[in-house]
Amino acid sequence: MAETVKLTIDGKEVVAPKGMNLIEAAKLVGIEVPHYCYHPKLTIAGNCRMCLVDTGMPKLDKDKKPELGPDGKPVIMFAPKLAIGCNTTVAEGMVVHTRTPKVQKAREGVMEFLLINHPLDCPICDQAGECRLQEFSVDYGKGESRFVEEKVHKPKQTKLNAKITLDDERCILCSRCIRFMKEVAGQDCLGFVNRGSYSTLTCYPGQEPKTNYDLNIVDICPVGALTQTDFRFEQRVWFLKETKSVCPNCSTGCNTVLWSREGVVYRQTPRDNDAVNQCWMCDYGRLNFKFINDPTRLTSPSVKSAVYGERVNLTWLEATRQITGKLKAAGTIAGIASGRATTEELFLFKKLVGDLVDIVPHTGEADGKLLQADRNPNTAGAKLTGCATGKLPEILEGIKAGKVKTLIVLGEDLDEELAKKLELLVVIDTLPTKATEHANYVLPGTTFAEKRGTFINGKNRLQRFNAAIPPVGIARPEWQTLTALLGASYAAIEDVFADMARTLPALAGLNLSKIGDLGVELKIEQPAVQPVSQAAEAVAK
Amino acid sequence: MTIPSELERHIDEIITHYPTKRAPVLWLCHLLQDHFGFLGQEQVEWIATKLSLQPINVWEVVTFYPMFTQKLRGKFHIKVCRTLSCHLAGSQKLLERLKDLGADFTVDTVECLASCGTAPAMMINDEHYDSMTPERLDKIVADIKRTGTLAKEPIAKPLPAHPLEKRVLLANITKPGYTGSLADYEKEGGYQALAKALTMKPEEIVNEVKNSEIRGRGGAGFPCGLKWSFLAKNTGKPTYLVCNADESEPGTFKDRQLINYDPHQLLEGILISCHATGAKVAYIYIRGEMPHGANVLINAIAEARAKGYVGKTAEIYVHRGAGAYICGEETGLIESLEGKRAYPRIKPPFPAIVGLFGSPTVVNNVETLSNIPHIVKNGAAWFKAMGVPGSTGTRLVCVSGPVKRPGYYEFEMGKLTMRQLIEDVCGGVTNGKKIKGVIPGGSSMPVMPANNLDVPLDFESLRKAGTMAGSGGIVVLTEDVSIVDATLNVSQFYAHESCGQCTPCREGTLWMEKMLHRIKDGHSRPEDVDLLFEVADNIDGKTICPLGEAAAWPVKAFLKNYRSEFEKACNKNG
Amino acid sequence: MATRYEMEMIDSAARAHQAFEEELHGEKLIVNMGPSHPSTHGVFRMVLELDGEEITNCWPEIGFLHRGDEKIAENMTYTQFIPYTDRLDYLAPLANNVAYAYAVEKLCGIDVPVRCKYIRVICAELARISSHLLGIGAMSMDIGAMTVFLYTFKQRELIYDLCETICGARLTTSYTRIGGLANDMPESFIPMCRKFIADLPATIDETDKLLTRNKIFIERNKDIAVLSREDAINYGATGPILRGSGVEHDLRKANPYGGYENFQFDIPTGTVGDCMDRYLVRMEEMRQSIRIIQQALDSMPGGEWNAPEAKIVLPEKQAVLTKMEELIHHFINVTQGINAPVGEVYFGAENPKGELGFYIVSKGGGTPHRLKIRAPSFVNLQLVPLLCKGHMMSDTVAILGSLDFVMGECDR
Repeated sequence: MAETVKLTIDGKEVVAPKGMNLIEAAKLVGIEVPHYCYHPKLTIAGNCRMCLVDTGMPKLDKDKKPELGPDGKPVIMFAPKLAIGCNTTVAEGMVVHTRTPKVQKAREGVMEFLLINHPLDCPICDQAGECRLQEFSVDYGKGESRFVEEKVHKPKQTKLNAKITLDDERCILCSRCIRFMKEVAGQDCLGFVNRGSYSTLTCYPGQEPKTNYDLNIVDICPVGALTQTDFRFEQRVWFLKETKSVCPNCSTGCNTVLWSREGVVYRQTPRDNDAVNQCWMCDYGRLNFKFINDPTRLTSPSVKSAVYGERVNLTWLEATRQITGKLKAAGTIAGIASGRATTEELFLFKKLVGDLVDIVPHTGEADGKLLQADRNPNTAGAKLTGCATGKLPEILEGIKAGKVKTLIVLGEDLDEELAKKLELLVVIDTLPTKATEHANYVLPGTTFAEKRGTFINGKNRLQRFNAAIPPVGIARPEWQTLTALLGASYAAIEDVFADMARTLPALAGLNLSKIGDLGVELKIEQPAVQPVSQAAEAVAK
Repeated sequence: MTIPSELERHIDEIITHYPTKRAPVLWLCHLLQDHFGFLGQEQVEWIATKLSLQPINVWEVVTFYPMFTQKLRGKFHIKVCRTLSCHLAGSQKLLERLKDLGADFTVDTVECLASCGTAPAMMINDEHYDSMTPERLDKIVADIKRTGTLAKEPIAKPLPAHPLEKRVLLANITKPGYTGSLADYEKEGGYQALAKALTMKPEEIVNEVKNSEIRGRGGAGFPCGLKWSFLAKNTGKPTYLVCNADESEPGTFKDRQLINYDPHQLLEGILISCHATGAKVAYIYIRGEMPHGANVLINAIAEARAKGYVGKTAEIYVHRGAGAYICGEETGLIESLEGKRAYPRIKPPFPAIVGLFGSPTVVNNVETLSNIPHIVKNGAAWFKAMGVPGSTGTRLVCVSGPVKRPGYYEFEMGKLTMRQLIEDVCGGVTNGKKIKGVIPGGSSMPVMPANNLDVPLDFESLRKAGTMAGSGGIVVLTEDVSIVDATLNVSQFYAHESCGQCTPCREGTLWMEKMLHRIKDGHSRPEDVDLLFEVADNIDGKTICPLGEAAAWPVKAFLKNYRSEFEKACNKNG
Repeated sequence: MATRYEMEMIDSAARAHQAFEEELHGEKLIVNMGPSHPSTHGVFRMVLELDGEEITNCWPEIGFLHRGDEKIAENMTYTQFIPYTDRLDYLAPLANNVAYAYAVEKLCGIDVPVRCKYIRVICAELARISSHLLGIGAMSMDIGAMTVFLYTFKQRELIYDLCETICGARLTTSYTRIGGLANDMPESFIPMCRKFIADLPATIDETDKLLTRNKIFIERNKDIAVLSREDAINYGATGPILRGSGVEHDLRKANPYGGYENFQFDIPTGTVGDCMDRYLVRMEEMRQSIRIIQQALDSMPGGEWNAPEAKIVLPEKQAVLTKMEELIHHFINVTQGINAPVGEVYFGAENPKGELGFYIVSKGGGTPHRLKIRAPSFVNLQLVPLLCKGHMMSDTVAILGSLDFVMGECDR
């Protein structure tokens, strides 16, 4: 159990864990101490001087006990100079003032200094609307400028690397990016050159940031010095709707925020979750969202018309009727699900298809930080719902041999030759693939940005995500499609989850509300996935 | 680009002086620049590879220190000091003589060269010139042009003692035939204190120094023994002693003399202090603009090593700076020694706990360390008997300005007033003008107005008078000096030397400089006087290191004491 | 007159039987008046139950001009809401602007310079004159005196010219800002205004001559819709209606705001509380407004017209384009609004139609949590059933005219 310390901030009593700094301690009681260079996940720099506060300790008498004043309270000796809150640890009996005229004057002074050489870029700067310089200037700075000299000029609009644009005039030299690249991303490539007021942030030519975590410096830059090049001039942030989501690009499941407007997603940023991704996400995941608004998205159910030879659009009603009819008449049904599908979808898919089902593994190289080798976000969910059986080779063999004639595919591609061999191929997907080209029926699905659902990440954490934009065309969330194919009567996704929670013991007692924004760790005891050779042996026996 | 094997051998030897791969960066930059004449991409990348660093780490350092250049300079690099005392003594006239000299010459202004008593001072390559006149300068340039070489400039002779002085540290330098060699030093009783110290327990030495009540002579005046006692013990890490020979405070030029004339006194002090603090390695951080001083020390260390002094109980290495006043700040110095930009550290933790290479470190001034042999030899009581309570012992002061006898003097602290020093010792003002004010401890200390000069020269009296003893650099300003001009000159110094790490100093010093330019050039407004004060006040007390105060105090003091001059300048343009 | 008794029939069979049994009796007639009706002064609907010519019951219906202003306010910054205040009492937009500005300034705890106050006083009084001119003109026209309408509207045109001079718009003035005004009063305004108030008394006198001792006008107005003091207070009536019933309550004197305490003027009150009194009160108020404007123009100070509050008032454009702090403050002020303190305020101003009040609940930030508008017309309209009952059908226009409401602020 961590020890705690009692101190007073602006007259409020605070109980803070030992070792906590004053900025965090003030946050505990809802007091904001403005700061730029401090970041809870990086080392302390202490150079912006914005978090200056007045600190005092009880005066100790010769027995090292607090001396009491005439009012019976300890006499407080205030330090002669203001101290920076980020580097001051809480101490028993400490008294901190963050609102006195002395502190206000210090903040106004520091703010003024930060602005004297700052370019008048607000009208063209992407950071406007989420710029800490603007916000603290209005909240803590002066309203009028007294600077009439020429500002220091530095390189503007330079390419730090392909993903990031650097504007040195806007930089307030807080060194967050330098510390991040060195301490977290692991590539010590940024630094300051020149001296004094001419100090400039840069990287050595040819040694620009090359990690999978470069774009995090755009997040942590408090001003518009580092901006994401593909978001440059795209949108003003106050027009964007923020939707809490989870990254679907690997089994880490970094918590994210989708920024969208009128059905278009413009960018993704990480969300704080100390149990999963702290406050970072990798560039691979961050940049992989353009497919959501791709113009070739599937928008309507369609059937490969025998008469016309090309695809014909159907209504959902008609498509469902035809497919359910054909499935009833079919023999063995096999299913290929996706590790990118949500737990709810996999649960329903398993019900629809039965035992002959498996997911398609997708792997890549893990980067030792957040990006895992397993590029499916919901492998654990597939295992839990029984969709990850290891039978994929068997299924593909079965199709080749002609034993499996009916296949439903959820969100994956299929070899062209195999697709042609099937009598009935139903594909539920979002973008055109070889499978959708040759499928008898194509049912349009939704990306992770357009539906609600849950993923279970590689550490068995159940996390939920929300819909940011409406589906394209008349596409529907897959759980609705599967409900219709099952002929079930789930009215809302909560009902699907409730059924799941009833059926799968690991989810007992949970619902989508209880999961919350940070997810819940599940206790899962799973039967091991049967390896292929054992299954084949069993069949052979 | 190829590195000759001799050079690489030297580099490899230097690298052994340090426990980390990054610390030798400054040395390698010096050596490569001396060889190639500049530090371009090839050189930067070679150093990075050699030291297993990233190129940005080296490039950061190259661009931070003005002595390094990324482009080839002329064969003869003329550096004219532009700071206060030299400026008032006419460095501008020298610069006017140095126009259109041709491709062989590069002319630059540099900040205080620590030779203010013989202003105006300048350097050409590694040669140092004192009391330069336009005529002499013309001759030197002509000689260079004629011969294509640079003649060696002899080091000035030591100043003789004034009757009112009490020379302890400077006792040897005027002895006839004294060269500062080990033999000469031992002849005068040198290294006996070291022998005595090695028989004492470290705590005993620390106590002796504590009892002597000697206060740091670098500028802050912190009690030396007390500082030593803060050193963390039993950390499992080595302890380091660092000698701060980065004398850059404008108006100060005392450490230069101690190094040039009696280096072994300093070395003996360092060795004794190492024994007292448990340090096994000591570094002398000497400013880059004293190449002669660095060589003197390197040779003296070699002599002492041959005699078995250095290398037995402690190792001493010389580390050259490269033109940054901020390296005079102890944590800035430590960062620079570690091979980084000289960004002072936030405190806590203090160097005594976490210092050089993360280990307990103590940083002491040259003069402070030079006192240690005498304290150990003669005892704390002897030291305490000199000076006044609270300011024991002797100290070197440096006087510059239009006085009859500018220069360095050693006195018992508190036994002379400022007026006595200027009038009696320095012979009073030469140009027939009245004194307007005196800066008592380097340009960072508030100026003393002319009507307040009867203050004894000790720490407490000066503090009570609203200023500080500082580094002992005394600059006399007479009534012909424009205070606006002097403030501008000093502000330019701080703006140039600001490391740029923290907001108030980085932005505020340049802002003050720009405002003072406007005020001097007649483009200012009446409200600029108060604005200037407020800006200085906003820097004061808000910065990581004392350079903020150093930049703010002179401006505030000049404004306070000579406000009418500023108002007149601001009202000129309406 | 024949006695009248009322009876309720269960169904048509019972009614037929009753008709056969009893002597002739009549049925009440339900007449719908409005919402599109030239005399209802906006989209106002009254369902009248008539017994012959006599109104036995009256159900007013409002809400036809409801635009959701108060809900809209929760999504707007305080400055963005100012144009919505123009459209409350759209016959006196400047007065609404002034009332709203004072309400938000009270929330923020800031005070505007004297010059700003005096300019706002002039605006409010011009709005009062404009509103009363229209009230009297429209009422007279409804009653049949059509000429007066033209005379008063001629003067209203001149007031529109003044509005255009001071802020560039005739009706959609949006002239005040939080902490000041959109722009200073132009120099050209002053002689124009002086000329206007010099010429106006002639029109008022002319109207007076045409109406006040006009037999028909008196017949139509005297002792019609008498509102007692008690009823006026109990129903929450404010403005000329309240004062017409003899209650000497005017917020400009009772809770002085905006510099009104520095001006000399009288509060006209009626004695009977009938339509005539209300008409007379309005006539006299116009004369008093002229007095106030005269004094304000004569003692107009120079200096700033915006409060020196850099966090609330937009900086000068020249500064915004050349100075960093001003650019940032302009940016945040416009995109996020002012950072109003947490709290609740109510501010009521004496508008031409009565007390216009703004009740603002702020949870901090640039948009109000709740902005309730106490519209005088909304409250005054409660009197319609009370006043109409017992009068004749043709009296409705006189009554509605004398209540002088406007649906813009009633429905919001």
